[in-house]
Amino acid sequence: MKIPVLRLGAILLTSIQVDLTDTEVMQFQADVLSVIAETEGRGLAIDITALEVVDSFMARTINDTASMARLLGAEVVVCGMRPAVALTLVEMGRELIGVETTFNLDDGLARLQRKIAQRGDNALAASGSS
Amino acid sequence: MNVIDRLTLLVYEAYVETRERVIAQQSLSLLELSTPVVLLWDRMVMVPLIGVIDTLRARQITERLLEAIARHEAAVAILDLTGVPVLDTSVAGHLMKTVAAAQMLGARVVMTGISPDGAQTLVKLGVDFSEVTTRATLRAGVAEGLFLLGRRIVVAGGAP
Repeated sequence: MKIPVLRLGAILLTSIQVDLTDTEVMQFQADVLSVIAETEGRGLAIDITALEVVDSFMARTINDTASMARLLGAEVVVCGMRPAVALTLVEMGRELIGVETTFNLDDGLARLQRKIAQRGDNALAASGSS
Repeated sequence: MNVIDRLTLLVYEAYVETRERVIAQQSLSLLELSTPVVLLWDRMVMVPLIGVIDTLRARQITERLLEAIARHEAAVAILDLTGVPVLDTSVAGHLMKTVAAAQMLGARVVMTGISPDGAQTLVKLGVDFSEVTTRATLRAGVAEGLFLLGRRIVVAGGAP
């Protein structure tokens, strides 16, 4: 199951709809990173509304992916975490440290837009190239 | 027999010595060639890093960068890693020292050109680059640097 990475202007949007195996999660990570590098994406929204269960590997991978994406110059927001998932993660001591989370996708995109607007390279897309 | 043995030894020693000298000279000139510090704009310097970074080169890069920052009173330093093939703990450690030193001089450091593989390696190694602004490409890094200087590139009229 390949997770599509959609492009919304400078923001890349991915939505995890089904439970992923560990291999699929790693594949997802590699896919997201290569798309960021290709498109010079400046924001990444990971939507996990559909996920009922997030295991510790998944949580760590999301964390890692966020750090990696940041190294590639993208702001990251994780959107739509379910209350039950949040509770499990906290109880496991596996909070998504350093990753911004928002209640839903709408807030997530708004926050990304705001962060990108404060950056120095936000004029790049407007200059027409790529 | 003994004479021939000695002769062989002599020839071999001469050969090795010449070869060593050539290698030493070349590595010295390689070191000289490999770390230019470019003044991109007023108060903005850029170091394109190419090839493997070892301790010696890392120290030289740091020295040159600091010297250039001081000379040009640079407020922004861009480290471009596009040409670095492997990013491992030691390279990352060297880079962090360079960054810390540049920041101590009051320059803001922007890192560009980290590949997806490089990013994965760095995160898996647990290297913390959160203090540094990173951008995917040199293009974005230059834009960020200009922004930090309060400048921006605009489209001039009359272009085709």
